Parts: sequence; structure tokens; C-alpha cells
Amino acid sequence: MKKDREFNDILNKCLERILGNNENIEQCLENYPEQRSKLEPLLRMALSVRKASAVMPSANFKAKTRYQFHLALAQLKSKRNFWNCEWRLRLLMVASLILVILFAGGGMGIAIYHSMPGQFFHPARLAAEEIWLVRSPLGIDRVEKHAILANRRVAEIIHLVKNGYNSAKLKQVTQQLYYHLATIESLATAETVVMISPVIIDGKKGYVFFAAEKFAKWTQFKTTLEQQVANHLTELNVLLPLVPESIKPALLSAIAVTEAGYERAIEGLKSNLKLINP
Amino acid sequence: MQDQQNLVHRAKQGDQEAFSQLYEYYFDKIYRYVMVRAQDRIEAEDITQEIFLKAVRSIHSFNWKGIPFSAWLFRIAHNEIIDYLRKKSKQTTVPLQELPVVPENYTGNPHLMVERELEIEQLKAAIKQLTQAQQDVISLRFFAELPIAEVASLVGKNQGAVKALQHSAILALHRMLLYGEIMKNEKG
Repeated sequence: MKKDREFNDILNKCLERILGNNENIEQCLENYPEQRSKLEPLLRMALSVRKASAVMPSANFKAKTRYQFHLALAQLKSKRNFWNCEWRLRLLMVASLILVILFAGGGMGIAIYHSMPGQFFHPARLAAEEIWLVRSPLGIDRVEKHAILANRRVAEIIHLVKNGYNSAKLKQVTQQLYYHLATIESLATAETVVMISPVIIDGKKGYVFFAAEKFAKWTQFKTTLEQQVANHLTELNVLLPLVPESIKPALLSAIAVTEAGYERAIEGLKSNLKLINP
Repeated sequence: MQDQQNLVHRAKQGDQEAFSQLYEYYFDKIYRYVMVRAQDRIEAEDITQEIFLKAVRSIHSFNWKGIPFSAWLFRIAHNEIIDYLRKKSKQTTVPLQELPVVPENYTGNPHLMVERELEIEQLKAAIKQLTQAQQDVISLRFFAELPIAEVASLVGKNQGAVKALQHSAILALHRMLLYGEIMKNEKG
């Protein structure tokens, strides 16, 4: 028992030296001549395992994941900022804007509604969107609103590209797009919609629908998202050959986020729409 | 890398730079750890991506009470792999590469006591024949390159037990792969 423990310690020490400090096997074996015959095959096998296990992720995958990781971080930060640090200020700003709109008439409201990134009224639009979102109940209502805003972000990306805005602005809107799509995914996966059909009741075959209406709504929403992503990708890809080289990387990122973000949102919906046939 | 405790503390406060450093440090390790268990590269990529997104979303829940950050992160990875395997088992599975059964008394052929060029798939097939505890130790020690102390903390065993598992796992791999090679040569 004690001998086993000693040998396990020696093997581990040698592994640390060989794998951690890149010493060679011989250097370690010299320190433990009495264990050589037992130690050597194990160390050689360990070295073979280490060599075979040194698989590296592809550069493309690493870059794509890094980008998504940073977007997720930014999303988290903007959420925190909104609710922790500046929320009072923002609400005050929105309340003031609503008052201004009430006094100034509908013209300003329309200007805010149609404003695009980089324009004077756009921050007011974003603040109003946040209020619009948080006022809606969680579930399909909230998810649908995020989908509407995701559409809007894609429209803004197209507007920015066509009007020659710099890539920093484009990245900012892409980040907001990611936020809406990621929220759709997380809200969708938080809710399981089950429909059971058909069942036998008193010897007769019948259909029992639990939450059939809800199920239909979510299913319809999934179909809508599938159509939306196809349209968006077509619109964005058409722009690719038309933009200057300096804008291309940001547009490519926007396309990647659109594709991956919608795909994940749709997958989230698929995993939670369960039709059970007993 | 800067002191990890400090980095984790900053990441919890929302410091993107600190989180990025943790990401860069652990990305390859997590990827390799996932790679051993996943069926192929594409699945390994999906799972790796999900692990880091989950880490971002739940960093606020991490408390540094003697548990290293790596243990927390690899716990997420472990759970994610378990989820993946569970889903996978419901789908059609591809049979593992068959390895010959090794006789209990087989100790190896001294003439073949050299380092071998193992293919990753060959190694994965052999690892899948180890016990669950041995698999955990091999994937964390060799693929994720974690020190014994962190592996012990992750698998909930003491360091002595992890060293014993490491020994038995390498020995089992040695027997399986070497014996498999001999059998192949004899058949050939």
C-alpha cells in the first residue's frame, strides 16, 4: 500500500517535470533507477497521450467564439448599466421626452419613431424601446417584441451600410441585434410548451390539447423567425460586394451574428415546443 | 496571467478586460477537455461556445471560498457535456471503435516500449473504455492540463486518490493501446 503510494507520487513528480517543465524522460528516470522498468512505459505512454491530446481549436472557430463572447459581455454590461447605474436617469429622460412629445404634438413622436443610429432622436428611441420591453409580460409577448426590435436593428444595419457610416457604428448596432436574439433564445428556453395529442377517453379516441393556443402561437412565431432570418441574410449578403473594404469586416460580423443569433433562437424554440403522442 | 483571484473579482464587477484574460487562458484547455468527450470537432465547438456563454451569464454566482475558478468553470463544462451526452443518447449512436479485450496478466512487450504516434480518435476510443473516474482524471490532467490539486478539487477526491487513478488510467491505456497494436501487427 505504502509502496503504491510512493510509486504514484514518483509517477506524478515525473509527469510534472516532463509535461510541465518539458524535461525528457531520461532525466527523470535517472533519479529513480530502481523504478525504471515500471516507470518508463508509463511515462512514454503519458507522453504519447499528451502529444495526441494537443488538439487546437481552429483559428476561425476561435475568432468567431471570441466575438460572440465579447458581445455577450457587452450585453451583460449594458443590462447592468441600465438597471444599476443609470436607470433613474434614463427613466427621467424618457419621462421628460414623453412630456415634451405630449406638448409638442405628434411630429416629434414620428421623428423619434423613424430615427436611425447617429441621428439626434435615436437615443430617445432606444430608451423608449427599453421601457416598451420591460412593460410587456415575460413569455411570448416579450419574445415577439424582441423579434420586432431585432428586425429593426437589421434595418438599421442596412441603413448604416448604404449611407456609408463607419464600422464602429455598425458594430454597436450589431451588438444590440445580438442582445435581442440572445434574449429570445433565453426566454424561449425558459418556457416549455407541451401539447398532448391524441388520447383515449372512456374507450373513445379523442384529442386533448393542453395550451393548444399557446402552442400554436409559439409555433407561428418560430415560422416567422425562420422567414425573417432568410430575408435578412439575403438583404445583408446583397450589400457585401457593394461596400468598401474598410466596412466589410463589420458587415461580415453583422451577417455572422444574424445567422448564428437567429439559428440559436430558433433552436431554443424548437427544443421547447414539445408535441407528445401518448 | 495576473493573479487569478484578482481577475475573477474584476470579471464579477463587469470588467471586460479581466474576463477576456480568463477566456484566453482557459479557452484551449476547455476545448480539449470537451474534445475527448464529444463525437466530433463540430460538436466540441458548439459545446465549448456554450460553456463560455454560460460562464459569462453566471459569473455573479461564483464565490471564491477556497474553490479555484478553474473548478467552477470545469464544473460548467462537465455539466454541459453531461447534458450533451444525455441528449445524444436519445439519438442514434455511432458505435465506438472496437478495441481488443486485454488479458488481465498482460504486462506489455518490451520491444514495443517506445513512444507511439497516437491518433486522437484512437486515443478517444481507448479513453472511453476506462472507468468514469479514470476518464475524468485523464481528461483533466492531459487535455485540460490542470495540476493534481485542481483535479482533486474538481472530482471531489484527495490528491492521493487522484494520483492512484492517474496511475491506473495510464497503465490501462498502455495495455489497451499497446496490445491493440500487437494484435493489429499479428493480423497484418
